[in-house]
Amino acid sequence: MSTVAPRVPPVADEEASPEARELFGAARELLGFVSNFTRTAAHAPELARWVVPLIAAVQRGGPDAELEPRVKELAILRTSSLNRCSF
Amino acid sequence: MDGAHAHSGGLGQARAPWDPLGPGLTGCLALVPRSARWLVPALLLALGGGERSRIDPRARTLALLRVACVERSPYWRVRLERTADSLGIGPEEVEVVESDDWELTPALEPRERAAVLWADRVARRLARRDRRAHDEVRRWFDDEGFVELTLAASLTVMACRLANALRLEDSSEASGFPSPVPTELLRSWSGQMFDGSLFSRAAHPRSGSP
Repeated sequence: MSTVAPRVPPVADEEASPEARELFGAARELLGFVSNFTRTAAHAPELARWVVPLIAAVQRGGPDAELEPRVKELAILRTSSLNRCSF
Repeated sequence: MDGAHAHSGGLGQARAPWDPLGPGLTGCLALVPRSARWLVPALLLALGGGERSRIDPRARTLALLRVACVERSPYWRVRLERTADSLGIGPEEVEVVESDDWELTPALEPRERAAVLWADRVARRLARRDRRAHDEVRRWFDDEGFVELTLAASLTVMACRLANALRLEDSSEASGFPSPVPTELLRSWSGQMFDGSLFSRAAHPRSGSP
């Protein structure tokens, strides 16, 4: 667990703009929760609107997924490790 | 940038308005439409900025050129150099940003230099711990601008690695990006992605232009 403070405060539900609320709703639908990544990206909603579903599409499996879940997860783990990203 | 709307089609096709990311890339993305329908608009907004962007086109293009340089991506360097040209950024300024002298040159405004500095640190994976770069960029960008710049630089890193890994070749007909990307144009492109017509044309380039 990182002890480094975030550089930008994540947007909380109660302070979210209508556009950010829409984004949070989509994230809950796609992922089941709103991550701190989504809450931080919500500061730039014009871009976040496409980036958040992109990450869900790339990382999550599904009936129309291009890769099987095990191979995808191994690739994600290796990439995160090489990029030293514990998130 | 009028000419930017008429990007070259992939796979040797004549100029067409439906291939915003240039030759080769859309054809590859057609193989993964589930991700690509989100990736294409995200990349376009990262590279060109949207109508509500907090980063001016000049600072954005210079910063992302630096990313393409750090990532050693000839594909995106050429595309961004063309964007720079369309924005009136001179070849000598491009040369400076692509060299090791960019931190010293008086050619860049302080806000532009801060954007280039932060993008450089993101590309080099130093942004997490570089306090000086963070302090400098935050002098010029508020939360919204800072997050947008970080997202744009990160997506450009991804685009560079994608182009390098797939060995995408640039085409001399490919133009730069519209900067900012007009909302109507983005809507039109994303509509074609969601109804599948963009990708079916990329996969079958001889089937006619839109």
